[in-house]
Amino acid sequence: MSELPANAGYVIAAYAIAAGIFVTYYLRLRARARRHM
Amino acid sequence: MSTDITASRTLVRRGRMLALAGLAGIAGVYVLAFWFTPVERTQGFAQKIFYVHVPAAWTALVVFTIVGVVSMLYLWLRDPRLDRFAEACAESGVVFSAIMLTSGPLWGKPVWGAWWQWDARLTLTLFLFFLYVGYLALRSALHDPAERARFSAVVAILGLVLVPFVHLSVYLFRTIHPMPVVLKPSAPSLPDEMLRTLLVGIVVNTVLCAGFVLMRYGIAGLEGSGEEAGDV
Repeated sequence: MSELPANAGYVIAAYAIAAGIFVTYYLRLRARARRHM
Repeated sequence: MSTDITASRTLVRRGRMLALAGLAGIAGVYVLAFWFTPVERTQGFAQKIFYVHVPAAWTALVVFTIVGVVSMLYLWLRDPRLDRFAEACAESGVVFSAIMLTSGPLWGKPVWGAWWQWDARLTLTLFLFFLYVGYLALRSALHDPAERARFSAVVAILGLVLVPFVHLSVYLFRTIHPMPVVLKPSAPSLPDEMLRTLLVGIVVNTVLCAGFVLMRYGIAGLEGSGEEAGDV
């Protein structure tokens, strides 16, 4: 198993949080739109 | 009325397609940043956060500027569609600034040794975020559409005043935040491969934001939000 570079945890956390926020907001909008479609 | 509903539904569908394209693009940017962009020499792997942080910050500042300009237009023309559009943009701006404000400390900790500094750029950005959270809270607290549109337009214009200070804060104050690497009078100070990933990130974030705004604007149309905002 290859070793992770130094500070990889911070980078992975930043990328994961950003993706989480984007997907959550998209799903929230989609659910809200579906109530009216 | 049914024409309005059809138009709003079309907007939601187009927004959804754009947002899905944007989300796929975000995955592409992650792959580009991790595997096809060199590691920066002084900051090491932590510098990869740059490709999340800067495009989100760029998108948030652009969209907050649009909210301010559209709000000024609303106060002039009193068209409820402008109020709805400003609301849609403000909500997306809060989403992108939340990413900017979470990725920033995650970058600051390994590079500066601190999660947060009460530095001019960081503090002004936090104030801008709170101002637009307040804008959305104000909107949900007011029930009269015309009053809600008028009051929130004033708050959005105050936010617009803050935007240039955020951008210029690194020149106006002594700050630990890095200077702009692209939006500056001289040529971008980034190697080509890093600049390419950054620009792709900015385009993808802009597309995603446009998708969110269209979806939200269409939903506001379907919900009839602010329909009477122009009847003052």
